[in-house]
Amino acid sequence: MGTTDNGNTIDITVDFSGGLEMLFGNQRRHSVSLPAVDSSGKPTNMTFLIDYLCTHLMKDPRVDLFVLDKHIRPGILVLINDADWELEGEETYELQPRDNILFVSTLHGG
Amino acid sequence: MVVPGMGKYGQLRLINSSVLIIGAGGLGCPAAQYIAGAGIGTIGIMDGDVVEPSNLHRQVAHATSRIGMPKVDSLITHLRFLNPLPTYMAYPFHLTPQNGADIMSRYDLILDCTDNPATRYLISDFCVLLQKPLVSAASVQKSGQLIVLNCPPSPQGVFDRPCAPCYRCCFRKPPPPSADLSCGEAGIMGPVVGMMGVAQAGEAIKILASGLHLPPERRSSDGGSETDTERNLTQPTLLIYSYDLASAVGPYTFRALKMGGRRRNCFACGEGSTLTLEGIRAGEPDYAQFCGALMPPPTAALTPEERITAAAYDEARRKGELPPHVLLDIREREHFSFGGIDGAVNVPFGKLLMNAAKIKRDGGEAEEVLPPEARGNGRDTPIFVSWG
Repeated sequence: MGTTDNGNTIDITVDFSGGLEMLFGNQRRHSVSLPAVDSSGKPTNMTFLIDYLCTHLMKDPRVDLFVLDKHIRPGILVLINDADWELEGEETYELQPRDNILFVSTLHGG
Repeated sequence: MVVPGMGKYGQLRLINSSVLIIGAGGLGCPAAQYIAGAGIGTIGIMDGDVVEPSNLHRQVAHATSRIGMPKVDSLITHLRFLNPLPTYMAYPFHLTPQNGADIMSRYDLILDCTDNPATRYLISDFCVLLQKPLVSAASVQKSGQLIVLNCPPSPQGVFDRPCAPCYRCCFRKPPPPSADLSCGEAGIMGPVVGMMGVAQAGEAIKILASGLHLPPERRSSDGGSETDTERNLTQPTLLIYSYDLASAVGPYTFRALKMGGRRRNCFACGEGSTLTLEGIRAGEPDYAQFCGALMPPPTAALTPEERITAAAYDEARRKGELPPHVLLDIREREHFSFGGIDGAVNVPFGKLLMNAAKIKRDGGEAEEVLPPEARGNGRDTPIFVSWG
Protein backbone atom coordinates (compact mmCIF):
# COMPACT_ATOMS: atom_id res chain seq x y z
CA MET A 1 0.00 0.00 0.00
CA GLY A 2 1.21 3.52 -0.68
CA THR A 3 0.28 6.66 -2.53
CA THR A 4 0.85 6.04 -6.21
CA ASP A 5 2.46 8.71 -8.34
CA ASN A 6 -0.72 9.40 -10.25
CA GLY A 7 -2.63 9.99 -7.00
CA ASN A 8 -5.05 7.11 -7.34
CA THR A 9 -5.02 6.41 -3.62
CA ILE A 10 -4.99 8.44 -0.43
CA ASP A 11 -3.02 7.22 2.56
CA ILE A 12 -4.42 8.20 5.95
CA THR A 13 -4.20 6.99 9.52
CA VAL A 14 -7.30 6.00 11.45
CA ASP A 15 -7.25 5.83 15.25
CA PHE A 16 -9.75 4.29 17.66
CA SER A 17 -9.99 5.18 21.32
CA GLY A 18 -12.18 4.98 24.39
CA GLY A 19 -12.86 1.25 23.85
CA LEU A 20 -13.71 1.38 20.12
CA GLU A 21 -10.35 -0.26 19.34
CA MET A 22 -12.01 -3.45 20.63
CA LEU A 23 -14.05 -3.59 17.41
CA PHE A 24 -10.94 -3.26 15.26
CA GLY A 25 -8.76 -6.10 16.47
CA ASN A 26 -7.71 -4.26 19.64
CA GLN A 27 -5.45 -2.09 17.53
CA ARG A 28 -5.55 1.64 18.15
CA ARG A 29 -3.87 2.89 14.99
CA HIS A 30 -4.43 1.69 11.44
CA SER A 31 -2.82 2.82 8.21
CA VAL A 32 -5.49 2.90 5.53
CA SER A 33 -5.11 3.36 1.80
CA LEU A 34 -8.28 4.57 0.11
CA PRO A 35 -9.13 5.15 -3.54
CA ALA A 36 -8.94 8.88 -4.23
CA VAL A 37 -12.41 8.85 -5.79
CA ASP A 38 -15.48 6.73 -5.10
CA SER A 39 -17.31 4.59 -7.67
CA SER A 40 -19.21 7.60 -8.97
CA GLY A 41 -15.99 9.56 -9.46
CA LYS A 42 -16.46 11.92 -6.49
CA PRO A 43 -13.56 12.60 -4.13
CA THR A 44 -13.47 10.16 -1.23
CA ASN A 45 -15.22 11.60 1.82
CA MET A 46 -15.99 10.58 5.41
CA THR A 47 -19.13 8.65 4.41
CA PHE A 48 -16.95 6.51 2.15
CA LEU A 49 -14.37 6.01 4.90
CA ILE A 50 -16.96 4.93 7.48
CA ASP A 51 -18.42 2.40 5.06
CA TYR A 52 -14.90 1.23 4.16
CA LEU A 53 -14.01 0.73 7.82
CA CYS A 54 -17.15 -1.36 8.40
CA THR A 55 -16.48 -3.59 5.39
CA HIS A 56 -12.71 -3.88 5.45
CA LEU A 57 -11.28 -3.11 8.85
CA MET A 58 -13.84 -4.13 11.45
CA LYS A 59 -13.08 -7.55 12.90
CA ASP A 60 -16.08 -7.62 15.21
CA PRO A 61 -19.52 -8.28 13.67
CA ARG A 62 -21.23 -5.90 16.11
CA VAL A 63 -21.39 -3.13 13.50
CA ASP A 64 -24.15 -1.39 15.46
CA LEU A 65 -21.60 -0.48 18.12
CA PHE A 66 -20.02 1.74 15.46
CA VAL A 67 -22.73 2.65 12.95
CA LEU A 68 -26.50 3.01 13.53
CA ASP A 69 -28.93 3.86 10.73
CA LYS A 70 -25.99 4.45 8.37
CA HIS A 71 -24.50 7.15 10.61
CA ILE A 72 -21.84 7.02 13.33
CA ARG A 73 -23.77 5.95 16.42
CA PRO A 74 -24.53 8.47 19.17
CA GLY A 75 -21.79 8.59 21.76
CA ILE A 76 -18.87 8.50 19.29
CA LEU A 77 -16.88 11.65 18.56
CA VAL A 78 -15.17 11.94 15.20
CA LEU A 79 -12.04 14.05 15.01
CA ILE A 80 -10.40 15.13 11.77
CA ASN A 81 -6.77 16.05 12.44
CA ASP A 82 -7.63 16.50 16.13
CA ALA A 83 -10.61 18.83 15.53
CA ASP A 84 -14.28 17.93 15.99
CA TRP A 85 -15.51 16.90 12.53
CA GLU A 86 -18.37 19.34 12.96
CA LEU A 87 -15.79 22.06 12.27
CA GLU A 88 -14.84 20.29 9.02
CA GLY A 89 -18.16 19.42 7.41
CA GLU A 90 -18.79 16.04 9.07
CA GLU A 91 -19.62 13.28 6.56
CA THR A 92 -19.02 15.50 3.53
CA TYR A 93 -15.39 16.22 4.44
CA GLU A 94 -13.14 15.16 1.55
CA LEU A 95 -10.15 13.21 2.78
CA GLN A 96 -6.66 14.54 2.14
CA PRO A 97 -3.38 12.57 2.08
CA ARG A 98 -1.90 12.05 5.56
CA ASP A 99 -5.15 12.97 7.35
CA ASN A 100 -5.58 11.51 10.79
CA ILE A 101 -9.10 10.45 11.67
CA LEU A 102 -9.89 9.59 15.27
CA PHE A 103 -13.02 7.82 16.46
CA VAL A 104 -13.46 8.01 20.21
CA SER A 105 -16.39 6.84 22.26
CA THR A 106 -17.51 9.25 24.95
CA LEU A 107 -17.10 7.96 28.48
CA HIS A 108 -19.48 8.41 31.40
CA GLY A 109 -17.88 6.47 34.24
CA GLY A 110 -16.09 8.04 37.13
CA MET B 1 0.69 30.55 46.03
CA VAL B 2 3.97 31.92 44.69
CA VAL B 3 3.60 30.23 41.32
CA PRO B 4 3.88 32.80 38.52
CA GLY B 5 0.42 34.07 37.65
CA MET B 6 -1.16 33.10 40.95
CA GLY B 7 0.06 35.43 43.74
CA LYS B 8 -1.90 37.00 46.55
CA TYR B 9 -4.85 38.09 44.40
CA GLY B 10 -5.24 34.67 42.86
CA GLN B 11 -5.16 33.09 46.31
CA LEU B 12 -7.70 35.58 47.64
CA ARG B 13 -10.05 34.72 44.78
CA LEU B 14 -9.73 31.04 45.70
CA ILE B 15 -10.51 31.73 49.36
CA ASN B 16 -13.59 33.70 48.35
CA SER B 17 -14.86 31.08 45.93
CA SER B 18 -16.92 27.94 46.24
CA VAL B 19 -16.88 24.62 44.38
CA LEU B 20 -19.49 21.87 44.28
CA ILE B 21 -18.11 18.40 43.62
CA ILE B 22 -20.86 16.07 42.42
CA GLY B 23 -19.73 12.49 42.92
CA ALA B 24 -17.33 11.39 45.69
CA GLY B 25 -15.84 8.47 43.79
CA GLY B 26 -12.84 7.86 41.56
CA LEU B 27 -12.87 11.39 40.12
CA GLY B 28 -14.30 13.26 43.11
CA CYS B 29 -11.81 11.94 45.70
CA PRO B 30 -8.59 13.05 44.00
CA ALA B 31 -10.22 16.28 42.75
CA ALA B 32 -11.42 17.19 46.25
CA GLN B 33 -7.98 16.68 47.80
CA TYR B 34 -6.40 19.29 45.54
CA ILE B 35 -9.40 21.63 45.77
CA ALA B 36 -9.12 21.53 49.57
CA GLY B 37 -5.33 21.88 49.42
CA ALA B 38 -5.63 24.98 47.23
CA GLY B 39 -7.58 26.75 49.96
CA ILE B 40 -10.87 27.21 48.14
CA GLY B 41 -13.21 28.73 50.74
CA THR B 42 -16.35 26.60 50.44
CA ILE B 43 -16.41 23.02 49.20
CA GLY B 44 -19.68 21.14 48.70
CA ILE B 45 -19.66 17.36 48.22
CA MET B 46 -22.69 15.50 46.86
CA ASP B 47 -23.08 11.72 46.61
CA GLY B 48 -25.73 9.26 47.77
CA ASP B 49 -23.53 6.14 47.97
CA VAL B 50 -21.70 4.51 50.86
CA VAL B 51 -18.07 3.36 50.81
CA GLU B 52 -17.56 -0.21 49.54
CA PRO B 53 -14.36 -2.29 49.54
CA SER B 54 -14.29 -2.37 45.72
CA ASN B 55 -14.06 1.45 45.67
CA LEU B 56 -10.83 1.73 47.62
CA HIS B 57 -8.28 1.08 44.86
CA ARG B 58 -9.22 4.32 43.14
CA GLN B 59 -11.39 6.35 45.53
CA VAL B 60 -8.33 7.35 47.48
CA ALA B 61 -9.95 9.58 50.10
CA HIS B 62 -11.96 6.71 51.57
CA ALA B 63 -10.51 4.09 53.91
CA THR B 64 -10.98 0.51 54.98
CA SER B 65 -12.08 1.78 58.39
CA ARG B 66 -14.88 3.82 56.79
CA ILE B 67 -16.53 1.06 54.74
CA GLY B 68 -20.29 1.47 55.01
CA MET B 69 -20.05 5.20 55.80
CA PRO B 70 -21.72 7.66 53.40
CA LYS B 71 -19.04 8.65 50.86
CA VAL B 72 -19.74 12.31 51.50
CA ASP B 73 -18.92 11.97 55.21
CA SER B 74 -15.89 9.79 54.53
CA LEU B 75 -14.47 12.26 52.00
CA ILE B 76 -15.07 15.30 54.23
CA THR B 77 -13.40 13.48 57.16
CA HIS B 78 -10.35 13.00 54.95
CA LEU B 79 -10.40 16.60 53.69
CA ARG B 80 -10.59 18.04 57.22
CA PHE B 81 -7.35 16.23 58.05
CA LEU B 82 -5.76 17.81 54.99
CA ASN B 83 -7.15 21.31 55.54
CA PRO B 84 -9.56 22.21 58.35
CA LEU B 85 -10.06 25.79 57.14
CA PRO B 86 -12.56 25.53 54.25
CA THR B 87 -16.28 25.36 54.94
CA TYR B 88 -17.39 21.86 53.97
CA MET B 89 -21.00 21.26 52.95
CA ALA B 90 -22.32 17.69 52.90
CA TYR B 91 -25.09 16.57 50.53
CA PRO B 92 -25.40 12.83 51.22
CA PHE B 93 -27.85 12.13 48.40
CA HIS B 94 -27.86 11.99 44.60
CA LEU B 95 -28.55 14.96 42.35
CA THR B 96 -32.15 15.06 41.09
CA PRO B 97 -34.13 17.37 38.80
CA GLN B 98 -35.83 18.59 41.98
CA ASN B 99 -32.89 19.29 44.30
CA GLY B 100 -30.30 20.49 41.79
CA ALA B 101 -31.08 24.16 41.12
CA ASP B 102 -31.24 25.19 44.77
CA ILE B 103 -27.93 23.57 45.70
CA MET B 104 -25.95 24.29 42.53
CA SER B 105 -26.96 27.98 42.52
CA ARG B 106 -24.93 28.52 45.73
CA TYR B 107 -21.61 27.63 44.07
CA ASP B 108 -19.22 29.38 41.69
CA LEU B 109 -18.15 26.29 39.79
CA ILE B 110 -19.29 22.70 39.40
CA LEU B 111 -17.18 19.56 39.02
CA ASP B 112 -18.97 16.68 37.31
CA CYS B 113 -17.44 13.59 38.92
CA THR B 114 -20.47 11.36 38.35
CA ASP B 115 -20.71 8.01 36.62
CA ASN B 116 -23.78 7.99 34.35
CA PRO B 117 -25.04 9.86 31.28
CA ALA B 118 -28.43 10.93 32.72
CA THR B 119 -26.80 12.79 35.61
CA ARG B 120 -24.20 14.30 33.30
CA TYR B 121 -26.87 15.84 31.04
CA LEU B 122 -28.83 17.02 34.08
CA ILE B 123 -25.76 18.73 35.60
CA SER B 124 -24.97 20.44 32.30
CA ASP B 125 -28.52 21.72 31.86
CA PHE B 126 -28.47 23.22 35.36
CA CYS B 127 -25.08 24.80 34.63
CA VAL B 128 -26.49 26.44 31.49
CA LEU B 129 -29.54 27.84 33.30
CA LEU B 130 -27.63 28.89 36.42
CA GLN B 131 -24.65 30.15 34.36
CA LYS B 132 -22.04 28.05 36.13
CA PRO B 133 -18.78 26.85 34.59
CA LEU B 134 -18.54 23.07 34.48
CA VAL B 135 -15.39 20.98 34.66
CA SER B 136 -16.37 17.58 33.37
CA ALA B 137 -14.33 14.39 33.43
CA ALA B 138 -15.07 10.73 32.83
CA SER B 139 -13.11 7.53 32.86
CA VAL B 140 -13.62 3.83 32.29
CA GLN B 141 -11.26 0.87 31.87
CA LYS B 142 -8.08 2.40 30.43
CA SER B 143 -9.35 5.73 29.07
CA GLY B 144 -10.07 9.15 30.50
CA GLN B 145 -11.57 12.38 29.18
CA LEU B 146 -11.61 15.96 30.47
CA ILE B 147 -13.24 19.15 29.21
CA VAL B 148 -14.10 22.60 30.58
CA LEU B 149 -17.59 23.67 29.53
CA ASN B 150 -19.76 26.73 29.82
CA CYS B 151 -16.79 28.89 30.78
CA PRO B 152 -17.02 31.78 30.89
CA PRO B 153 -20.74 31.37 31.38
CA SER B 154 -23.14 33.30 29.18
CA PRO B 155 -26.95 33.42 29.13
CA GLN B 156 -28.95 30.82 27.19
CA GLY B 157 -29.47 31.73 23.52
CA VAL B 158 -26.76 34.42 23.32
CA PHE B 159 -24.86 34.39 20.00
CA ASP B 160 -23.64 37.98 19.59
CA ARG B 161 -20.16 36.86 20.71
CA PRO B 162 -18.29 33.56 20.72
CA CYS B 163 -19.72 31.57 23.63
CA ALA B 164 -18.46 28.43 25.28
CA PRO B 165 -20.35 25.20 24.58
CA CYS B 166 -22.27 23.15 27.11
CA TYR B 167 -22.10 19.36 27.50
CA ARG B 168 -24.95 18.92 25.00
CA CYS B 169 -23.15 21.05 22.39
CA CYS B 170 -20.21 18.64 22.47
CA PHE B 171 -22.05 15.39 23.17
CA ARG B 172 -25.44 15.80 21.51
CA LYS B 173 -26.85 12.37 22.23
CA PRO B 174 -25.94 9.71 24.76
CA PRO B 175 -24.85 6.31 23.47
CA PRO B 176 -27.41 3.52 23.50
CA PRO B 177 -27.25 1.90 26.96
CA SER B 178 -25.94 -1.33 25.45
CA ALA B 179 -22.84 0.51 24.22
CA ASP B 180 -22.09 2.35 27.46
CA LEU B 181 -19.75 0.94 30.07
CA SER B 182 -19.69 1.67 33.78
CA CYS B 183 -16.59 1.30 35.96
CA GLY B 184 -18.28 -1.30 38.12
CA GLU B 185 -19.06 -3.60 35.17
CA ALA B 186 -16.15 -2.89 32.86
CA GLY B 187 -13.38 -2.23 35.35
CA ILE B 188 -11.22 0.83 35.74
CA MET B 189 -7.53 1.47 36.29
CA GLY B 190 -7.14 3.56 39.45
CA PRO B 191 -4.37 5.84 38.15
CA VAL B 192 -6.36 6.64 34.99
CA VAL B 193 -9.45 7.94 36.77
CA GLY B 194 -7.22 9.56 39.41
CA MET B 195 -5.30 11.46 36.75
CA MET B 196 -8.55 12.85 35.35
CA GLY B 197 -9.81 13.87 38.80
CA VAL B 198 -6.58 15.68 39.60
CA ALA B 199 -6.75 17.44 36.24
CA GLN B 200 -10.30 18.57 37.06
CA ALA B 201 -9.02 20.23 40.24
CA GLY B 202 -6.27 21.88 38.21
CA GLU B 203 -8.77 23.34 35.77
CA ALA B 204 -11.10 24.50 38.56
CA ILE B 205 -8.26 26.28 40.43
CA LYS B 206 -7.17 27.98 37.20
CA ILE B 207 -10.68 29.26 36.44
CA LEU B 208 -11.41 30.50 39.96
CA ALA B 209 -8.00 32.13 40.49
CA SER B 210 -8.36 34.11 37.27
CA GLY B 211 -12.01 34.98 37.81
CA LEU B 212 -13.14 33.29 34.58
CA HIS B 213 -16.21 31.92 36.32
CA LEU B 214 -17.59 35.44 36.48
CA PRO B 215 -19.36 37.07 33.55
CA PRO B 216 -17.04 39.67 31.95
CA GLU B 217 -18.88 42.65 33.45
CA ARG B 218 -18.34 41.33 36.99
CA ARG B 219 -14.71 40.39 36.57
CA SER B 220 -12.20 42.63 38.38
CA SER B 221 -10.26 44.89 36.07
CA ASP B 222 -6.72 43.71 36.79
CA GLY B 223 -6.63 41.59 33.67
CA GLY B 224 -6.87 42.52 29.99
CA SER B 225 -10.13 42.63 28.09
CA GLU B 226 -10.16 39.10 26.73
CA THR B 227 -7.48 36.70 27.84
CA ASP B 228 -5.98 33.91 25.80
CA THR B 229 -7.50 31.46 28.22
CA GLU B 230 -10.94 32.82 27.51
CA ARG B 231 -10.55 32.61 23.74
CA ASN B 232 -9.39 29.07 24.19
CA LEU B 233 -12.38 28.17 26.36
CA THR B 234 -15.01 29.27 23.85
CA GLN B 235 -13.69 26.45 21.67
CA PRO B 236 -12.51 24.17 24.45
CA THR B 237 -10.08 21.31 24.29
CA LEU B 238 -11.15 17.77 25.03
CA LEU B 239 -8.23 16.01 26.68
CA ILE B 240 -8.05 12.28 26.12
CA TYR B 241 -5.85 9.96 28.14
CA SER B 242 -5.31 6.48 26.73
CA TYR B 243 -3.50 4.10 29.02
CA ASP B 244 -1.97 1.13 27.28
CA LEU B 245 -1.13 -1.90 29.41
CA ALA B 246 1.04 -3.30 26.64
CA SER B 247 3.34 -0.35 25.97
CA ALA B 248 5.15 2.51 27.67
CA VAL B 249 3.83 6.05 27.62
CA GLY B 250 3.83 7.20 24.01
CA PRO B 251 3.08 10.10 21.68
CA TYR B 252 -0.67 9.43 21.72
CA THR B 253 -1.09 8.75 25.44
CA PHE B 254 -2.51 12.26 25.78
CA ARG B 255 -4.38 13.92 22.95
CA ALA B 256 -5.79 17.42 22.91
CA LEU B 257 -8.83 17.67 20.64
CA LYS B 258 -10.37 20.91 19.49
CA MET B 259 -14.12 21.10 20.04
CA GLY B 260 -16.61 23.56 18.55
CA GLY B 261 -18.21 26.50 20.37
CA ARG B 262 -21.83 26.95 21.46
CA ARG B 263 -24.24 25.39 18.95
CA ARG B 264 -27.14 27.44 17.62
CA ASN B 265 -29.42 24.42 17.63
CA CYS B 266 -28.38 23.16 21.06
CA PHE B 267 -31.34 21.89 23.05
CA ALA B 268 -30.08 23.57 26.24
CA CYS B 269 -28.14 26.73 25.39
CA GLY B 270 -29.08 27.31 21.73
CA GLU B 271 -31.44 29.78 20.09
CA GLY B 272 -35.06 29.46 21.19
CA SER B 273 -34.24 26.78 23.78
CA THR B 274 -37.28 25.87 25.85
CA LEU B 275 -35.22 24.48 28.73
CA THR B 276 -36.13 26.11 32.07
CA LEU B 277 -35.51 25.42 35.76
CA GLU B 278 -39.26 25.07 36.31
CA GLY B 279 -39.45 22.58 33.46
CA ILE B 280 -36.59 20.45 34.80
CA ARG B 281 -38.19 20.40 38.24
CA ALA B 282 -41.49 19.27 36.71
CA GLY B 283 -39.82 16.43 34.80
CA GLU B 284 -39.16 18.03 31.42
CA PRO B 285 -36.97 16.83 29.78
CA ASP B 286 -37.07 13.21 30.92
CA TYR B 287 -33.40 12.39 31.52
CA ALA B 288 -33.90 8.70 32.20
CA GLN B 289 -35.77 8.24 28.93
CA PHE B 290 -33.27 10.39 26.99
CA CYS B 291 -30.48 8.13 28.17
CA GLY B 292 -32.46 4.97 27.61
CA ALA B 293 -32.66 3.84 31.24
CA LEU B 294 -36.30 2.96 30.65
CA MET B 295 -35.70 0.80 27.60
CA PRO B 296 -37.29 -2.62 27.95
CA PRO B 297 -34.80 -5.37 28.75
CA PRO B 298 -33.82 -7.45 25.72
CA THR B 299 -36.03 -10.47 25.19
CA ALA B 300 -34.48 -13.63 26.51
CA ALA B 301 -33.31 -16.00 23.79
CA LEU B 302 -33.62 -19.05 26.00
CA THR B 303 -36.68 -20.37 27.86
CA PRO B 304 -36.35 -21.01 31.60
CA GLU B 305 -36.29 -24.80 30.84
CA GLU B 306 -33.22 -24.28 28.67
CA ARG B 307 -31.34 -22.57 31.48
CA ILE B 308 -29.44 -24.03 34.39
CA THR B 309 -27.77 -22.32 37.33
CA ALA B 310 -24.13 -23.03 38.15
CA ALA B 311 -25.17 -24.78 41.38
CA ALA B 312 -27.76 -27.00 39.66
CA TYR B 313 -25.24 -27.83 36.91
CA ASP B 314 -22.64 -28.77 39.49
CA GLU B 315 -25.08 -31.05 41.30
CA ALA B 316 -26.33 -32.71 38.09
CA ARG B 317 -22.75 -33.32 36.97
CA ARG B 318 -21.73 -34.83 40.30
CA LYS B 319 -24.72 -37.16 40.20
CA GLY B 320 -23.75 -38.17 36.66
CA GLU B 321 -27.04 -36.98 35.20
CA LEU B 322 -25.45 -35.17 32.27
CA PRO B 323 -24.46 -36.72 28.93
CA PRO B 324 -20.82 -36.31 27.77
CA HIS B 325 -20.54 -32.66 26.86
CA VAL B 326 -18.34 -29.62 26.55
CA LEU B 327 -18.77 -26.74 28.98
CA LEU B 328 -18.01 -23.35 27.44
CA ASP B 329 -17.31 -20.33 29.62
CA ILE B 330 -17.92 -17.30 27.40
CA ARG B 331 -16.85 -14.59 29.84
CA GLU B 332 -13.84 -12.43 28.98
CA ARG B 333 -10.41 -13.96 29.56
CA GLU B 334 -9.70 -11.68 32.54
CA HIS B 335 -12.87 -12.82 34.34
CA PHE B 336 -12.10 -16.47 33.64
CA SER B 337 -8.56 -16.00 34.97
CA PHE B 338 -10.00 -15.54 38.45
CA GLY B 339 -11.74 -18.90 38.38
CA GLY B 340 -14.32 -21.00 36.58
CA ILE B 341 -16.06 -24.36 36.73
CA ASP B 342 -13.69 -27.35 36.54
CA GLY B 343 -13.15 -28.49 32.98
CA ALA B 344 -14.77 -25.44 31.37
CA VAL B 345 -13.21 -24.14 28.16
CA ASN B 346 -12.97 -20.36 27.93
CA VAL B 347 -14.07 -18.92 24.57
CA PRO B 348 -14.92 -15.24 25.15
CA PHE B 349 -18.20 -14.15 23.59
CA GLY B 350 -16.52 -11.50 21.42
CA LYS B 351 -14.21 -14.18 20.00
CA LEU B 352 -17.21 -16.40 19.21
CA LEU B 353 -18.87 -13.53 17.37
CA MET B 354 -15.72 -12.79 15.42
CA ASN B 355 -15.28 -16.43 14.44
CA ALA B 356 -18.90 -16.54 13.31
CA ALA B 357 -18.44 -13.39 11.23
CA LYS B 358 -15.30 -14.82 9.63
CA ILE B 359 -17.09 -18.05 8.65
CA LYS B 360 -19.99 -16.05 7.23
CA ARG B 361 -17.56 -13.95 5.22
CA ASP B 362 -14.99 -16.54 4.09
CA GLY B 363 -17.07 -19.72 4.27
CA GLY B 364 -16.43 -22.75 6.45
CA GLU B 365 -18.14 -25.28 8.69
CA ALA B 366 -20.40 -24.11 11.48
CA GLU B 367 -18.45 -26.00 14.17
CA GLU B 368 -15.34 -24.01 13.29
CA VAL B 369 -16.88 -21.22 15.28
CA LEU B 370 -15.34 -23.03 18.26
CA PRO B 371 -11.62 -23.66 18.73
CA PRO B 372 -10.71 -27.38 18.31
CA GLU B 373 -10.38 -27.99 22.08
CA ALA B 374 -13.97 -26.87 22.57
CA ARG B 375 -15.61 -28.97 19.86
CA GLY B 376 -15.93 -32.29 21.68
CA ASN B 377 -15.76 -35.62 19.86
CA GLY B 378 -18.34 -35.08 17.20
CA ARG B 379 -21.21 -33.06 15.87
CA ASP B 380 -23.66 -34.41 18.41
CA THR B 381 -21.75 -33.45 21.54
CA PRO B 382 -24.01 -31.07 23.44
CA ILE B 383 -22.53 -27.75 24.49
CA PHE B 384 -23.32 -26.12 27.79
CA VAL B 385 -22.64 -22.43 28.02
CA SER B 386 -21.79 -20.66 31.24
CA TRP B 387 -21.84 -16.89 31.56
CA GLY B 388 -21.48 -14.83 34.68
